[in-house]
Amino acid sequence: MKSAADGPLFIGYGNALLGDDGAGAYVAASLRRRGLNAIAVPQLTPELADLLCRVEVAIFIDANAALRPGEMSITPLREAGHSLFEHEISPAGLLRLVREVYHRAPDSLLINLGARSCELGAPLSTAIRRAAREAVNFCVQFRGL
Amino acid sequence: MKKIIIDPVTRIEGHAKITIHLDDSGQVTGTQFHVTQVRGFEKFVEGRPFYEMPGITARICGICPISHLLASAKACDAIMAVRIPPAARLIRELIHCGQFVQSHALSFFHLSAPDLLLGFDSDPVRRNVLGLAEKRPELARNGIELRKFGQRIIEGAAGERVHPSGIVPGGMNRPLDPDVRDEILLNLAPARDIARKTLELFKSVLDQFPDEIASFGSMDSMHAGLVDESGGLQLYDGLLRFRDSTGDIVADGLPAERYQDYIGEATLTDSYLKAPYYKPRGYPAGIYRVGPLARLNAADHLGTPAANAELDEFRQRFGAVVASSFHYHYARLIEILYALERIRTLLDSPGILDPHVRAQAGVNALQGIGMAEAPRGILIHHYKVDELGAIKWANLIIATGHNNLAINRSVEQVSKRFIRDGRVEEGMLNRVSAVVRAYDPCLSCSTHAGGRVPLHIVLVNADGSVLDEIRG
Repeated sequence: MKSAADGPLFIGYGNALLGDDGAGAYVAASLRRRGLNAIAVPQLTPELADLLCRVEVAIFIDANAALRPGEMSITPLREAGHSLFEHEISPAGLLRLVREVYHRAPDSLLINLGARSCELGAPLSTAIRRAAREAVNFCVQFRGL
Repeated sequence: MKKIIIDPVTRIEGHAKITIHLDDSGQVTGTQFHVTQVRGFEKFVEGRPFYEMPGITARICGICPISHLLASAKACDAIMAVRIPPAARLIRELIHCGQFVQSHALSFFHLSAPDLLLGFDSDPVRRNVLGLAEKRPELARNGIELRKFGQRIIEGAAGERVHPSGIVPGGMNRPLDPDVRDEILLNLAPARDIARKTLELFKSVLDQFPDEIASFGSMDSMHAGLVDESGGLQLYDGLLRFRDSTGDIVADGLPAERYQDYIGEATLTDSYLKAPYYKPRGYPAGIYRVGPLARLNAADHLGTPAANAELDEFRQRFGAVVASSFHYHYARLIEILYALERIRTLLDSPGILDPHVRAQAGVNALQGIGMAEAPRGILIHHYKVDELGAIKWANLIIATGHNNLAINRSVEQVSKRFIRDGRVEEGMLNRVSAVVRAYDPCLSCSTHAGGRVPLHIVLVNADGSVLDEIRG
C-alpha cells in the first residue's frame, strides 16, 4: 500500500464544488505539483489516521467562514477530547483517533483561510485565492525548514 | 398533543430530523422521518452532454460515488448502445467491490459499532469512534484497515479514492495495472481475516439486543435486490427481484428498462425524499426494503463459499426471510466477506488485464437506464437525450429513497417500544436515531460542513410551549 513520504504531510480538505470551501483542496493540489507530500480530500475520514501515524508533522488546510475573507490564520492543533463523529471528523478529533489507535500522533498545525462564499460553484473568490497563495508559500517554506 | 423533534439525526450521511407525536398521556401516536435537504441534480444536469453524467452525478456523494459512477456509466452505455469490453466489466465490478468494503466498513466500524459495542445507553460523550478507539483500539484499527483497503482498490483501478476518473461511458479509460492487481492480492488475506473476526465478534454480542431486534423495523415488507439467473446475489449486474416476507417471489427477472412498470415514486409533503413503492400493490401497501438485508433476503444464495456459509447460518438463526432491520448490520458484515471473495475471483479472471477496456460510440439511443446495487441498495439512473446527446430529462432513484417507507415505519415501531409516558431519555432517543442508522441512509454526503450541530430534541406542548429540551 502507498505510504507517506518523509517530511510533513499536508492535508487540504473541503468541497471543491462549494466555492471557497474548496480552498484547502486547492492548496493541497498546488503543493503536490511542487512535489510536497500533500493530499486533497473532500472531508476528513478515519482512514487518514493510517497516514498520520507515519509522519512527525501534519498540516491541515481548511476554509473558514468565521475569518475575514482573505485572512489566513495558523494555529497549533491539540488532540480533541471526546467529540461527535459522523462521516467527517475534525482535525483535532482525527489526531485523537491516531493517538488512541496507533499510540502516537504527529505535531500539527491548522491553516485556516478566510472564505467569502461557500455557495454552489467551483471558482474560488479573489480574496481566498490570495490567502491560498500565502498558504502555499508558507507550506513550501515550512517544508524547507 | 406533544411532539419530540430529533434534529439532526446524527452519524448518518446528510441531514434529517425526526418528529415524534405524543398524545396527552405521553404515548406515541405517530412519527415522521424528514429529509431536510434538496439536491436538484436531475434539474441542473439538463442540457449537459450525456458523457459528462458519470462525473457530474458522482458528486452527489463523497462516500459512495462509485455507485453513481457505475449506474450513470451503464445508462450512458445504453445511450451508446454498446456492450462494454469484458475486461472493463471485470474492472468495474472490482472497483464496485472495493466500494462495498470501504462503505460498509465505515457504516459498521465507525458509525454503528459505538452503539453496538459500547451500548445504546452508554455515555453519549464517549459513544463515538473516539470512545470506541479508546476502549477497543484494535477494532477501530480494523475499521481503518478495511476502509483503506477498499479505497486503495478504487484508487488503483480507477485513478482516485474519491470521485475517480477511470469509469467512463463505454467502459474504463485505463486497463488494470498488473502491479495494482498484485498489490490488492497481497492485502486481500488480512482484509478477509478482519472481516471474519468482526463477524464472529458481532455474532457473539447479538444476544444482548433482544428488544432492539424485536423493535428495530421488525415487520413484514417486500425485499428487493438484483440477482443473476441462478438467484445468486449480484452487485453490478443482474435482474431485479422482489420477495415478500413469507418467502414468495413476487416479481423476478425485471430488467432495468422496466423499472417504471414496477416502481412508483410517491411525493411526501414533509420530506424532500420521495417514497418509492412497488407499483402493482400501490402506495403505501407496496412497501419494500433494499440494501444489505434485503439483498440477502431476495437472493437464493451468495455465490461465494465463505459468505454463503454465513448466509446459511444467518437464516438458520433468524429465518429464511429475516424481518428485523436491526440485522442490516449483520448482513453488511456478510456482504463485506462476499465482496472480498469476489475481489479474489475477479483478480484471478484471465481477462482482467486485457488492455481493451473501452467501446467507442456516439448517440445510438435516445434514452438509457443504468441500474446497480449501491451499498445501501438499488440505484437507478435514467436519462433521455436529444440527437446530439444533450440531457433532456433525468431521473435518479437513490438507494435510500427505496427505504423511505421502511425507515418511517421503523422509527414509529422503535418510538412506540421505547418512549412511554412522555419520558425523554437520551438512550431511548438514541435508539430512534440508531434504527435510522441501521439502514445507513445516504441522504447526502458530498457537502463539507464547517461545524457540527449536536443532537437536539425538543418536547413541545400542544400550545407550542417547550416542555423539555435535550442537547447532545
